[in-house]
Amino acid sequence: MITLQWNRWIDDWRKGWAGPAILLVLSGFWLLMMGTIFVHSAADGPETGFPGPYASSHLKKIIVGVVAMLAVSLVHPRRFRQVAQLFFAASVALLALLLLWKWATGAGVVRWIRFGGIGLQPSELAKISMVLILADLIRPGEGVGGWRPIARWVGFASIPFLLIAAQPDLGTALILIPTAAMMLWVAGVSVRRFVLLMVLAVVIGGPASWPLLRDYQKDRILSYVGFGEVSGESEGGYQVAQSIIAIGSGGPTGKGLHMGSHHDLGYVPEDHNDFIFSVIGEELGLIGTLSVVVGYLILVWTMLGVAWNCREPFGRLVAVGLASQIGFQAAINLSMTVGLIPVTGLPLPFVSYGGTSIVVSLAALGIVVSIARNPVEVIHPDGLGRGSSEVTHRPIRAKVVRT
Amino acid sequence: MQRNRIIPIALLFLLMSVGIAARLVQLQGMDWRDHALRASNIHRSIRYTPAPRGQIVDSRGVILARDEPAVRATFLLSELEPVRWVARRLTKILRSNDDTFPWNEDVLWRSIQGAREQIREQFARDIDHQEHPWLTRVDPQCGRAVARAIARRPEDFPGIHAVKAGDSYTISIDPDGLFAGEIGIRKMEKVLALEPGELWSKVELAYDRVQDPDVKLQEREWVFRRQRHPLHEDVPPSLVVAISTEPEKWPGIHLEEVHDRVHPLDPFLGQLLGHTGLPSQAIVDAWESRQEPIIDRLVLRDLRVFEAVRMYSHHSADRVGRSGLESALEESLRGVPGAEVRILDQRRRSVGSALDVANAIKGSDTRLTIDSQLSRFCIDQMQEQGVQTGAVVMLDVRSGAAFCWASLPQQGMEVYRDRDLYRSRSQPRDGWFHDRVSAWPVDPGSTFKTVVGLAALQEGLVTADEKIVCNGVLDPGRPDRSRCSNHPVGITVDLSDALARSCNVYFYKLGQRLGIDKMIATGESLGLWQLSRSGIASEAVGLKPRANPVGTAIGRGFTVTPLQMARVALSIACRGKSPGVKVVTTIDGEAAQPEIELRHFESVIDGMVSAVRDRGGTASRSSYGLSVFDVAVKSGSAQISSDPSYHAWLIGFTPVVEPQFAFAISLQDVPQHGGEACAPLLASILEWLEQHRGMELRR
Repeated sequence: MITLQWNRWIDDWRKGWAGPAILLVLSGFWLLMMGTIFVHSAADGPETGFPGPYASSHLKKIIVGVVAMLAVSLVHPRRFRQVAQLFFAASVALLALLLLWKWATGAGVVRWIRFGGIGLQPSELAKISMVLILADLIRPGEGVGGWRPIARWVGFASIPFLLIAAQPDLGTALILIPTAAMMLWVAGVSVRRFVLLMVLAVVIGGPASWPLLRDYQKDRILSYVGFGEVSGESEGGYQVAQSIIAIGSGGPTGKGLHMGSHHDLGYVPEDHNDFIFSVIGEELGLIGTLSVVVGYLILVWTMLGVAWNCREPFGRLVAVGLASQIGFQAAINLSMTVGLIPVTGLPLPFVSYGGTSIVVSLAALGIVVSIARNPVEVIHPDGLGRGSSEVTHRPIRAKVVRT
Repeated sequence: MQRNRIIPIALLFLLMSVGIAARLVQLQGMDWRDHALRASNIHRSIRYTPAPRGQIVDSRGVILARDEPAVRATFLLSELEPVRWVARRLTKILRSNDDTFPWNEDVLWRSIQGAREQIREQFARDIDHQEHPWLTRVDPQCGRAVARAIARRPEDFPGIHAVKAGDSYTISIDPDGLFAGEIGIRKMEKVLALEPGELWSKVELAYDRVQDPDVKLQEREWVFRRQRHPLHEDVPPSLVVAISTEPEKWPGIHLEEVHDRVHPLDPFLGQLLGHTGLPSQAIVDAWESRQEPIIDRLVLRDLRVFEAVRMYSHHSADRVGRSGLESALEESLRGVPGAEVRILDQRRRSVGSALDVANAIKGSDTRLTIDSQLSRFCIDQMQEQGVQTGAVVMLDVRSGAAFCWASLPQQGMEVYRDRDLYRSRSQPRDGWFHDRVSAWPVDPGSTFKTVVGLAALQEGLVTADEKIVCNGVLDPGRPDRSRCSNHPVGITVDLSDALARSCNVYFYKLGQRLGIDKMIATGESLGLWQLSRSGIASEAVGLKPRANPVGTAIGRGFTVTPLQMARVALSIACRGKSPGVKVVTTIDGEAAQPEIELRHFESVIDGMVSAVRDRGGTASRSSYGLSVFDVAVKSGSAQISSDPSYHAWLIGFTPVVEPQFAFAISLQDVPQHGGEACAPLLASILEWLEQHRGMELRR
């Protein structure tokens, strides 16, 4: 019996590893490899053999993340729906706990929960949990045709947004907005309502949130729009200026690995973290930077392709949500480092040095791989029982069930 | 659920990617030369400034210690010479074009260092530096690649030229480009008239540390990239101008505004004030153990962290108190370092205004209770008398403030600038480094009789009117021991007479009755062998008597400081409870709390008044000039060798009724007895106080 169970398990595991799932893993691994190499180049000196202390630490987190990704990719998408509410409640509770701690201790910025030697960033968990809960709100047969479901949608999205913004971690909080918006769009909200919501978000949300911003956040925005001297502080402007110099000085082919003197001499801030793209630009030049951009484009398009193929609303929305999250975060980080938008303090997913961010990004990738491997759930009309079917199954023969 | 709506999202991401890619093409494909030049030119610099220390002023506002701005030169290894970078870049080009090229980065670097030796020889012989062929017969493919790389990024290969020579290439070195750092420093040695290599050896020491495998990697990184190594203190103005106007000729050398500690009245009060210096390793270790960072060792991106830690941080150029009050008052005197964020161009000129500034905060000023004018007068008077070592201290009766503090010999900061002088004065027995008022205990001689008298009266072992006959010796059976020659033989004396005439026999007998312990206990209650806890750094306790109560009773066989004897005089003047000694206006010393009845003090004071006013009193001679003053004194003489050489003492207070101040004078190694040596000095001081401070001290 045990042997039979194992065989079934292995059969399940082998099933569905077609083009999209493999492309997802390959593009993800390409970015991880770039990250590891340049975390080493940025944070560990050239005299240090590979992997240096930072690269070693980064690799350990990647290993944990890959294990998490593989484990998650084995889970059937319906399980994500089953745990979505619990996961959302847990991540919101952790965020609330952080805020309580912040108010009780009077600490300035509180983003981490540490137990033992391990740190956890609840906002990273909240990013995934929000995608799952928003996807869970769409039930078969229910749309987002009226204002009530939209309000419910906005309400659920607002909880993690406000809790993260209060930490304060405006960058991570802002990434939730386009994610929720893209999911709402694909969920089928009318164009008129969608445009109205976006306009309201910009016209009312922007000015309303200005007083809530910290001084340094205002400075970054003012600096970007050319009013850096207003507050006498142009730190954000400086960071971007140095990043542009580092990237530009790389030229078409770069200065070579460990040859990036501008970041190496300390002029590029957070060069192993938020500004790691500057290091890639300086050392690998245009070839390296374009390869990273293309890597993200392939990853995000593949995730959107998985959403396209998925016949089940929950899976499709989750794939769109996670694709948007990774895609927008990457786009914002890259745009920031090349001076297209103000500094936001967001890491580059899969590439920047980080703990929770790497593990959670890989887990998110695992969720999409799982959806890619199980694009539709069917009960065969001939009564063969529950199972997964390839997308080539004709939907007319399958009864889509609510899980 | 509309699947088609995924398409616009995919297009949106494509659009964003194209936008970012277009920006990258602009930066890295079109404008990259501009950015490469900017990368090699622009530097962001957070410059930390050490804080000025607070001033030390006397009771009348005269400055005793202050900071003066100075300029010091430091060097940054990573900016000094790009030799490592050049070696690394060349190795990469050569090895990527020729698999058989045998040298790795280290070998190439050592080869460049070899070329450096030739340049040094030229420099030593004042020969102009000339371009020097370094690698000859370089494979044409490699040579072309090097020449191309130099043409593409000349800023990455300073002082390196690749020239085609026949079928091959020659790579040559222009020393003014590649070794500009060393040339600058050796030029500096010449300008400052230093020994050749005196400054460059500091660079080599730093390089050794960078290459030492036993040193932690992070530490080596720090030493190479961030640490500003001290090169020369007190850079002369001409060199400051030269480096500031043409910094490109002095690569890696930075000028820093620091502070020199100056004692304007130096060497006056030198030992009490102490000295400052750059922090020693022990001080740095102490800071680290207290988690107080050295601010210029932190790598900060902006001033937010700086603002958070600056209040308890230090600067490596801080002048730290190493002795005396400079050390004891370190926490209040030291300031808070400042910082400034600036963008500098290749010539290290500031571009635009400072991005952020946090001004250094000066340390707190400290006021002493000492009147420097009076104290210097005392020193002048002692020196006029030919006194080499001695002390005068005067304490205000109401507050305990030490308003006169004179110590000979004087020693100022000069000893810390002259190594030979320092060595010659370092013998402990010479006591050059000790303040004679508080840190150099000597035998008190007969001044201790005041303590013995009080102890005996309080213990009820003698009464004020009990009389004895002094035959000049305690035990007639042993006429060579325990003698008294301070007054005519065979007179009858009570306590007052015994104090006035300093009769030894009287006090031998009191000593026998009291025993050692009771004399010590009374002495301690009056402030002997106790620290004053007045904030001064180095205070000696002295040696307590251990045996021989007879000798102890006349002040032999133990030591006390003039400050301690002044506290005894203060207690007597106050008739018991007296305030603690105060040297710094904000620090109250420990008060003396003797449990002695008032009437016993009056008995002792009676004897001390008689010492001045009665014929036969030890300070009564008209030539001393003291008899016109309303003063109570006790003199003392401790013979220190078979030569007629004494530690002459005089303690007391004035006026007798409602005293204003108590004093102790100790002139060491003088040929006269206590009264003879000290009374004229006291008279001149009292006269000065009447003339310059308006005191009325005459009878």
